[in-house]
Amino acid sequence: MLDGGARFSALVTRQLPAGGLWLSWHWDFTGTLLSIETTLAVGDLAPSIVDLYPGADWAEREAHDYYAVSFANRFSTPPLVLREGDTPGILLNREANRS
Amino acid sequence: MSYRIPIGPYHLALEEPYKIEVECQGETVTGASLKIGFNFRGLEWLAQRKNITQAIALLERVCGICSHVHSMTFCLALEQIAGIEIPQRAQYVRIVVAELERIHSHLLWAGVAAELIGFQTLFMQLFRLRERVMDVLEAVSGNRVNYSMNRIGGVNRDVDRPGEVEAAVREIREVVSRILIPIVTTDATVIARCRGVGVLSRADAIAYGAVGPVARASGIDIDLRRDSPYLAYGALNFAVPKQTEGDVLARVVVRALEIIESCGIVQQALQQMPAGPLHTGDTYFVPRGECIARIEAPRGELFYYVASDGGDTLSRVKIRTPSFANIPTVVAMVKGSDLADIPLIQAAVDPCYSCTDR
Repeated sequence: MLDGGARFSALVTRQLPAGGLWLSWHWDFTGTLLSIETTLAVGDLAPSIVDLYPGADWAEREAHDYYAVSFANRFSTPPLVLREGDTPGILLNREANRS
Repeated sequence: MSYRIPIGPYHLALEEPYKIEVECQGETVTGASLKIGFNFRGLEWLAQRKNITQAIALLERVCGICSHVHSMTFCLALEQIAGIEIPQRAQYVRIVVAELERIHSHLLWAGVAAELIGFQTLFMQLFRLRERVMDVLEAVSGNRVNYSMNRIGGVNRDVDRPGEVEAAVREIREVVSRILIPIVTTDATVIARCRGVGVLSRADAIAYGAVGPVARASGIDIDLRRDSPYLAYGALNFAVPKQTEGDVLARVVVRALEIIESCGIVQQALQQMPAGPLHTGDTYFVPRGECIARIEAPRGELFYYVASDGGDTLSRVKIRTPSFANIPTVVAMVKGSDLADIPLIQAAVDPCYSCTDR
């Protein structure tokens, strides 16, 4: 996709009613949106695309801040908008996770 | 000798809090890392706890410059979920305000750039013009920022005095054509200060996901108004300015030319605007569903994902602002540049840190 000129646009993360996570990666290709989505259990590793798309770095770090998503093949995932030491997952419904 | 210089989060070279740490070899920058989050307001968290009417007002405050496009994109997403088709006149009113906002944003940015380049007279000329746009926006909406024009299903107000808007746009077009464009394309000082500075290659622009004028200055021919038309953009004629050099000068030229195009769009929209209702009536709830809405904001593609479970509040509101995509490109731009050029290179991205942090 990179060779074809597809530009990484956004990573959307959402918590499912049952407590798992839904992740959706989006690329723009001449005005058309190309999307790939997956579901994860909280705590599962998601694939990182930063080695191909450095522009996805902040998107992955934000997903970690908001939903505590961890990414495979990343050296580290430092907080993006949270401070060092803050607990990630500020948008997680923790009650749902416990049930 | 190599050393590391932290700039920010509060620094004279920065318009808003943000931190860049640059690694230098002598005066040459060899690398950089960025730190954001100093303006973090948790707006996505808040938007998921407000009803949709409150969320429109909240999201208009993501950015102090391009406020209209945020509430507009949010409303576009909700309208799509609810299956609402907004009246033709409302589409044109939204376009008029969106393009005035783009003119305002680009004039503000060009003024800041002129000051950084050391061109005080140009800075004052551009800020005088910016006042003109803000006066027109106030005449249309009653507000100089946060115009509150958008509602689900249309707009809250009409453009009551189109002649006043058209006169202002004519003046802006004339001044930008007579002063700004000749200066940025021929003045030796501007060219010496900006040419070859902060280059972003086309390949890096794609890899970093650059959008808007930053991408177009690196040879990427994208503009959602043309490529994926929304509202009534498909019925309007306009060009998409593009440069290939990828330097600060290219970004200056692209934005200057875009002001002219936006003036033309406003004039066409005012002429083509049909009579009719401004909205479809009150809507306080949207059914279960999800939607992605994307529009071309002044700084580039604005991306909203909205999910509703049919209740009072939305289950997910995701906002990816253009600055969130563009600011990381600074890392690629500053490599190999002079340390003294960093403020200008950063400014040439037209970063909005409040948008980025949300």
